[in-house]
Amino acid sequence: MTDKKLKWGILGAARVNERLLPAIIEAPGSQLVAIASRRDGAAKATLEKYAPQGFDCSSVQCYDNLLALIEDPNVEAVYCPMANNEHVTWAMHAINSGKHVLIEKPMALTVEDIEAIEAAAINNNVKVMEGFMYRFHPQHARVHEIVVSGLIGDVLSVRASYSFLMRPARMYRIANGVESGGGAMWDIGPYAIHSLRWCFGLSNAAQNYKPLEPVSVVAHAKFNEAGADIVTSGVLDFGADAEGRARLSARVNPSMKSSVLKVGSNVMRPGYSRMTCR
Amino acid sequence: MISWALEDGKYAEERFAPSNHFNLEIEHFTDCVLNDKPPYLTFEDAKANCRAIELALQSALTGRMIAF
Repeated sequence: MTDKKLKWGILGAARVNERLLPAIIEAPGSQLVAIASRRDGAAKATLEKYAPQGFDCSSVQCYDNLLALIEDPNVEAVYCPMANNEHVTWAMHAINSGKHVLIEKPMALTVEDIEAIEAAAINNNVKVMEGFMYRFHPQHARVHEIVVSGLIGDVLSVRASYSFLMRPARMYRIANGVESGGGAMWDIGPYAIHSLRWCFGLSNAAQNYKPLEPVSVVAHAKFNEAGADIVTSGVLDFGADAEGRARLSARVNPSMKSSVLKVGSNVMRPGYSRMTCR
Repeated sequence: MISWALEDGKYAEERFAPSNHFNLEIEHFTDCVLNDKPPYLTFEDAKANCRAIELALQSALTGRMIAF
């Protein structure tokens, strides 16, 4: 290991900074050097609001201009928590400026856009990853170990439920239609779908436990006036006897509880407990 | 917490110490950059997840089953 620190910039004053901004400040090997927002003063306000007590905020450059951060030669890696339909634009700006990018989920709204991001990352020789923080909780390594051990048999049924409660501060999530990245499916659906694909892959030793892909889907959703889905359920056929169910809601209390794995006649429940955030 | 029950009626659960997955995510990506390692979450994974979401929405909007 080297003593070098990776110099991060944060693109946007999104609420997720409540968790990610202190993580970047506290993580070994990381240094927060810049934050930017299009709203005047929002970058500085976000930094001062979410930085850990005692942190020297004057060490971080605050920009009221997103491109200024991307063009800052001091920034080596960018965390991109912009609106879902802006991920591709700003990730491409950052990648083409030679920055490594952690893109908040969903990476983009189309497979074609992700292909473009991938090609740019290869061309610029930078690292890019979709931000699924949940997977980094140690519980997942243990779930992997238990399922792969064969203790509970093949994974035949997985249920993933995610929800959040509509409140004024969260209404932006459902202010746009699904074509613009709004609604529960683009907001919390990525977690549910990701969980299902991952869980079924744990029975797939021949493929080194890589995620299994569904063969068909049936979904039902209730949409609001903006065209955002508010309450959504989906059944995904993962082939043979394997079936995944995703349930998403913007009408009940926040829940990161996911995945009741029904395995044969056995049942396994990984409860995704709320994580401590100082 | 993880819990499981087996066919023979045995039940077990494991509790985990509090763990900050946001910090762990940042630590992982930082390690990938500083030490030139491939990120745990791949483009292939991102594309497959996106495709599943797109088709799930297509099903919800049309009321039809969608094959992948």
